[in-house]
Amino acid sequence: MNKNAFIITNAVLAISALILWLKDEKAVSVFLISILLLFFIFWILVRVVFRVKYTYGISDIFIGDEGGFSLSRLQAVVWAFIIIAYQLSVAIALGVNQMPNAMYYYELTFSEETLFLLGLSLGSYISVKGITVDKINKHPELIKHRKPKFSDIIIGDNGIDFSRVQMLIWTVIALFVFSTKVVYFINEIIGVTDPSQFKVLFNSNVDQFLEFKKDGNETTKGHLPYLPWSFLVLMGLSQGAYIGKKLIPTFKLDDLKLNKEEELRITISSLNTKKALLSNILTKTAANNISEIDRKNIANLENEIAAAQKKVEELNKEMQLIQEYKK
Amino acid sequence: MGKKTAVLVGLGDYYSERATGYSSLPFVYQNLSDLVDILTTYKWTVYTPIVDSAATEKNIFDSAIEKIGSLESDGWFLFYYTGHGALKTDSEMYLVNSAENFRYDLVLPINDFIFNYEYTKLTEFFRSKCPDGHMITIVDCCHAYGLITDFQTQQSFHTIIAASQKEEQAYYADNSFFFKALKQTLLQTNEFQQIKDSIEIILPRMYRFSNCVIHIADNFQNSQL
Repeated sequence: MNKNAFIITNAVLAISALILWLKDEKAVSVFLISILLLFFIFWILVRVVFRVKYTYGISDIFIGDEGGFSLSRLQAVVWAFIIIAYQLSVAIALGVNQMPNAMYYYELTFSEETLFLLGLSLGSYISVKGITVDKINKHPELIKHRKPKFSDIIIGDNGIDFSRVQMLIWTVIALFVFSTKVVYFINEIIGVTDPSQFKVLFNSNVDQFLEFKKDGNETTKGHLPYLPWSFLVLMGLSQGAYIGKKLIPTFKLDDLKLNKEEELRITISSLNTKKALLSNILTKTAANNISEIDRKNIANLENEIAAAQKKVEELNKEMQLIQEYKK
Repeated sequence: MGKKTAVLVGLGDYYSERATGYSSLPFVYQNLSDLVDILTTYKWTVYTPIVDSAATEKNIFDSAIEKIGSLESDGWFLFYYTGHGALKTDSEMYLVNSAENFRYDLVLPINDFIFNYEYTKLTEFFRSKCPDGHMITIVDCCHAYGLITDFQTQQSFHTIIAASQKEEQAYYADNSFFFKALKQTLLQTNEFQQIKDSIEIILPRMYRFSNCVIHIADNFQNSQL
């Protein structure tokens, strides 16, 4: 992401937040503002406090050890970002709440599902990093020496990688669903009129909330943002498939070609040596032969030399075919 | 000293080309070529070696008998074999030579291989044809000494240079360790006693131990190759 794209994104977010605020969609607006604020804090930290030098702009953060965009990094960063933004929006929502000293009731709480989600994405990131570093240690030539492209996140060694595509799709869906839950939670915080409700709100997961509702407790308002467990299991399977595929060696046509070429080269060299040795033997011994048996042995040796020559020619043609195919 | 005649036999690619289940021995051709050069230097008459598919039991014996038959009573005969060797029983060793029905998926055509007792007949033939002669057998294969063990009594005219003990394998990497040592030795000396001493020193240095067997014929202890 270059500088202009970053500015445009922030501008779109700011305008959207303003419009939504004016239309009284305060919860969505607060969430967008918190994302904007997080971008700003990140920018201050990176450019002003630590003065980090970019290679490819802010998108440096998504570039993996192989030198291309990394899906696991992207996922880990986005989830961490959204969860931080969620806490930031809770703080802003308390500020927006009409009650005096509402900020006093702020609690840094997460639903179990949120923690599991963050753990899943970070675990996936660390696993993929481990696999990649191990792969690079064994094959340093795999480091990409080209400008990373955003398409790297769905492109594998042999084109579009289904394990990446499905993980990306599930991640986008999960982000959308989780964001709606965050907006709902923010909306509830903004609307709280009784201070005692904050305690319940910050410490109720969805199961408790539904239980309260069942018991007819109408004063209970909302619950912490969550994702259904079945969806989290699905995310786990999706990440498992992605990591599992990384562990399986990739079928690479170029490597096969190189191996075959090397094999042919060794066989051709060995046959040429055999030919030369048998020719030398024939030259040194032919004059001594006088009998029918000797002549048969000479003929056999000549046949062996001819057969080796024929085989060399066949293998050379095979080698030529492989080299032409390579072009 | 009479005429010196050598018959060399080598099976290299044959084993893999015919799907015998035995591994190819690509160094065989190099060894044959080297030995031809060395023996020629020492004034031997070396006939065109019998190689791969031509190395049948019949062809090997026919060739050897023909060459021994052409010798005078004090003639010298050298037989060299490089290829695979195997044991059938504790007392029966055979050279895995070429045979028409030799395939890995069939019962081994064992009757078409050269056994130790058949080789004994060849040495007896030499003894009768060349009573004052010297026979030299160089066997470069596994269980090599098994080709000769039944024939201890005739050590007076028969020199044996075997790459391995009857019960043991001969070891090789890019070439057989035994032949490397033999070649290194023959390039420096052709005196039998020195050949024996030298191989027994060089071979353990190349490999972890030496399991070759060298018996110089009693009548030729101080002779040269």
